[in-house]
Amino acid sequence: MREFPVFVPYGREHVAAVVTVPDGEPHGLVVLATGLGAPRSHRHQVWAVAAERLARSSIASVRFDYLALHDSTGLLEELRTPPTGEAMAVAEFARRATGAREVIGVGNCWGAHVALTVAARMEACVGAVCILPETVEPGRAGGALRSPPGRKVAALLRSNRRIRRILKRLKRADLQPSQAVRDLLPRALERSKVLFVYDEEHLDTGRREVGKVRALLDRLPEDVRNRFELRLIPGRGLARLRSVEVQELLLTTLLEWVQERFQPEQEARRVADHALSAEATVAPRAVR
Amino acid sequence: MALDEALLESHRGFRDDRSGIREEFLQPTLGPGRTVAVLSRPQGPSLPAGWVICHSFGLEQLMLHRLEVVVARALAAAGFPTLRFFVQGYGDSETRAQAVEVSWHLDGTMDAIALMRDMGGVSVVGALGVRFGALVAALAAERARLPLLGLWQPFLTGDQFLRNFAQTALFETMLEQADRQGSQRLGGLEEFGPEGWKDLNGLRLSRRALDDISAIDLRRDLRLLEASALVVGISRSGSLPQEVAEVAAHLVAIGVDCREEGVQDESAPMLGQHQFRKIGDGEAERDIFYDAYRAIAEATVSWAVEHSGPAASLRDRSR
Repeated sequence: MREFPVFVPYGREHVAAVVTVPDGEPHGLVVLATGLGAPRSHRHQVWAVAAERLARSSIASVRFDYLALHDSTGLLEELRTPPTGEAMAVAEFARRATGAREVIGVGNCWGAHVALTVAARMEACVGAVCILPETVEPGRAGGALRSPPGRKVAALLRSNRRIRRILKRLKRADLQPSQAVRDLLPRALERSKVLFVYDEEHLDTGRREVGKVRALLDRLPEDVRNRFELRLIPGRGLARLRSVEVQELLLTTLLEWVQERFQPEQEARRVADHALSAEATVAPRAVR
Repeated sequence: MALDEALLESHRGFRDDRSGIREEFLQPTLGPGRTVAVLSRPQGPSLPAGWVICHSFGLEQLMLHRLEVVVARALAAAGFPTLRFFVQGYGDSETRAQAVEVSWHLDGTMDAIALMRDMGGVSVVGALGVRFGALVAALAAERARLPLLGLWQPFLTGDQFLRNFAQTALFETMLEQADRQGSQRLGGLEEFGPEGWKDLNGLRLSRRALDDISAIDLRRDLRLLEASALVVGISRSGSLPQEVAEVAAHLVAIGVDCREEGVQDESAPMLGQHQFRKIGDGEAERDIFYDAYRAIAEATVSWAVEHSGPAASLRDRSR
């Protein structure tokens, strides 16, 4: 395995990234994205470890720092939306550099949004692993309460305990799939498999959220819908990778799923290589 | 398609005309393994003083990383070559998923100082560090007899750091256990598994690391230091926190020319923890140390400009 730290140009800025390549030709490329605040190697080096294990399975990877964070350039005091632009630039750069034909996006929290974006927008993407994705957002009522005049009303309503409880239930009922999920998930599923990963700690919210996502999926054609998968990691602490056990479970899940996705490419290559070697064997005979 | 190594190599660094700096990724062996470092330099001629930045311990390394980057780029813009790097067991270093040892911090820093000394045009090296990184910078400065030392929010002893570090970690654990109806006893730092390390919120924390950190005492460990030092403290009031003031007092007591700088920031108690806070109804996240990091960088550059000249004329004593 070899690692190449690089600065990928993005507009006037530079995205700090590390491209990891296996010893032989890579079977595919994994784009590893983090949540807000974590560096490219992720908390407790989990993405650095993932890169090493993927390389052992002949899979290249790239991990990167969002603009204005860690080693990337840029100055931003406030961050509003998951930075997908630089992630796409990094993915394209790494694909060109490694020569990988197929790509899988992987990420948690903001990184899950990035993974879905890569799957929806990149022709070569065959899968996305979204770890604890933010899948819901307030609907019309919640949106109104978040507007400047609505905030005053909300504060007034929250001051009464009984109304506060009702408000909480209403807020839950008002949740809808986030715009990212509404826009990106169907597009991603058109050609890619998508895996959502939760742990037991987030099972409750996950169920509620996934219920909304399922409703969205039900409106899609069956073959598209069937590309969606949900897995539950036993234990807790996935959000901040808060135990060595949960880190290992995540890495195992990730590696298995990614290897499965890249298998068709490996298979195709094996067939192509076999055909080539058969030609090579046949050709000298033909000369004779 | 094959690996395009030339493309990768040609992107190891960048130049930024707006700030007048250039940066380059290096992959040196620092301490017991290969790692990734970043060298920030001015685009024009460099001053003769070079800087090595020492990072903090555990998750604090990544929480405080942006401070190192902001200071490194500010120093480079002022003409100083500045090196930051990952100690083994952190970031992109080749040692992964292992309990970090304190000796890796110190040995890595000593090698980084040697690397900086070997750079053309550098005649004097200074060390900088934040929190636990400040302890490492001070120990390395003593060992390498460096004439320049900058400490941001330092501690006088390893125990002081550990108490502060443990409070944050245990607070996180308490929150998690409160989620589980407080049914389990709070795990103490003294409990270690058969591997010799304890899983502290995902961090492999070894008994040996705890002992080694605990053994650090700058009152005893700093004896030969003849340096100009900067001690920066960050607090809500703007005055130096007690432990920071104690470090400054000790440096003065052993004859170090010490400048004290206080940075006032409402978020000061959160230094070393997650630096983003949701604002409004969660539609945006704000970097709570955006201004503080710039204030620390400004204080460091101003002190470095003032003191690097005289230090360079003295040269590194151990060269």
